[in-house]
Amino acid sequence: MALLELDSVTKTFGRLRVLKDVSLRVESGAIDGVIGPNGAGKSTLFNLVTGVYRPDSGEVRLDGVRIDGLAAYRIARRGVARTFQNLRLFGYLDAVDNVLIGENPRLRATLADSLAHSPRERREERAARERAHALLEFVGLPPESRAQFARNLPYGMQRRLEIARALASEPRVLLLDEPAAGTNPTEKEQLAGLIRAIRDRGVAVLLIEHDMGLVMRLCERIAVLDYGEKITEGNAADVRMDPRVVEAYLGPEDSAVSRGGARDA
Amino acid sequence: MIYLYAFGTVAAIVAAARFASPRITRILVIGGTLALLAAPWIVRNDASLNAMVDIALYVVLALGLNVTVGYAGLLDLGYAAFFAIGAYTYGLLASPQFDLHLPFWALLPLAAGLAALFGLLLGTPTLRLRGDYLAIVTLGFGLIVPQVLQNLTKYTGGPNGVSALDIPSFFGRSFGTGATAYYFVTLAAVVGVIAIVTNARDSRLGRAWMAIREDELAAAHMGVNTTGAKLAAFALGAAIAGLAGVVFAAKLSLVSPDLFGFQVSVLILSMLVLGGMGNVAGVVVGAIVLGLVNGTILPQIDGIVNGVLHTSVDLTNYNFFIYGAILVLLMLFRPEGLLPNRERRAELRAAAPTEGPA
Repeated sequence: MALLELDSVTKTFGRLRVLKDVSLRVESGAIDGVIGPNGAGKSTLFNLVTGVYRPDSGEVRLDGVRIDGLAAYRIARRGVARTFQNLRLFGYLDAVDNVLIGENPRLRATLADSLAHSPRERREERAARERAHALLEFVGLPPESRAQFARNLPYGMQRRLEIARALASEPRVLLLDEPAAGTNPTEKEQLAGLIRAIRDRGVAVLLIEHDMGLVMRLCERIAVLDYGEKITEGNAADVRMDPRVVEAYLGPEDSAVSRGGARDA
Repeated sequence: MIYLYAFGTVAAIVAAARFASPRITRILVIGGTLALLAAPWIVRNDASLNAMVDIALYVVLALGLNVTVGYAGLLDLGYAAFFAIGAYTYGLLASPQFDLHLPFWALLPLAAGLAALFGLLLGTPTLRLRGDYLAIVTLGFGLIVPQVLQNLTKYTGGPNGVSALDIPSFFGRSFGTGATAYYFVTLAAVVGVIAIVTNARDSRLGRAWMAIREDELAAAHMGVNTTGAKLAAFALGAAIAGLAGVVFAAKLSLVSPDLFGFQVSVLILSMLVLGGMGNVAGVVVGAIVLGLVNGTILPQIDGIVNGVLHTSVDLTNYNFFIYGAILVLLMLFRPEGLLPNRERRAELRAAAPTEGPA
């Protein structure tokens, strides 16, 4: 049984079918990727898994238990964490608080504990704060930037902070939505190292990338989406050679120009 | 004397916030506590002490509204309704109205609980609403509650309300007709409420509120139960207002619908805006300043203004004109409030460079 399974998931918005019969499996300990041109349905896929939308048909299972249709916060609590394509940090909170909010599912303090600031709650808070610093260390956010508002951090740091925040709940699987967007080649290299380190912590990673390079280097299995359908799946070498993938990215030889970047899920 | 106290407290809070040195803060806290505890013997004027109780009640109310509006970012324009619910709980259950004479101390938690329940009642259907829409619904709630109290004449005494409420007692000793006992009860309420709201702010619940205020969708994806956290914000804010309502009703020995109108909600919200939303010290300062303007300064300068200008205006009727002017000036020169927290300051000054630590 795979850790995360999508079983012929379909989603339409009005008359637009964004995902059609997509099945996907992420094994524990894996780094898997989903690629595809703009508008292929990659982000919608993530939104379905994390509870933003519910699928019209098909199932999403975590460890064999259905999670489709659950509220987003319940899915997060079961061990699915994510980042966002266009960073959604809590801009006016500092880096540590951002991570502490990510830790929320792990904390046990009740309403009464919180209001009374009970010894139990104090112990838990102290431990949570230590873990937050350890996580920020892990993603490489230096101590001097941790008291800054998230929005004032440099872009690369914001990306790392978002990953730390997602890891704070100790998820089973981490969904990264274009983590390399807007980063330079050096940062991409560091990011690849970070993603491997995350996998080594025992968190399965599912990566969406628009850009093929990182995915090809990192991912064990790659699924390719085009127009909402999974056109192929395999390891990097298979996918690279697959004529359907070449066509999806470059277009058939006679219409190479017509497939622009205007579509976006 | 009341001016001395009000300005002294404000100055102490501002100084503590400015210097941010633990030693200075400790001296200010100890000195302030002693001065506040000795107030009934220093002020010695029951009317002034009474005005101080009113100001302290405003502080409690402002701290409660700050939970909903300042922390969780849920704009509540009908906050006075919860105040009314607390006050009427005392008015109906400790008065000749039904010949029920439940003790003050039992009604405090009961009223807080009842107000919290109404907080949930208002919170549940409005969970999906944000910003303007939420403001309109809460505004409606704030108008409905006094209206209902006014029209349920059979139970609530209608527009006249209920009077001759029981005088509370403490271990058999009556509070009497002076303000001293109420002063200590209210002071204790201020201290207790400050402790509770700061604990809440620094807990996972407080962080959940701030996460919701910043980005509700992202908060949900981090496993924050946004529904629960928002309801908790409504309920806690409401419970604090209910508590204040009981003390208010007992002190006045009267409840009537017109005491809890829209203008009360606006006044309390103005205190938050003036002082600095989201920051406990700021909210306390805002409540003291506007409470003083509302209860003491306006009635007192009436005579002076009319004497000088040979007019006969009742300045207390222009109170909203004056708050409006204060708020407009504030928005022009210090939009984040007198003592903001650092998020708000940064947010509202995003374009301008920040000067010094807040």
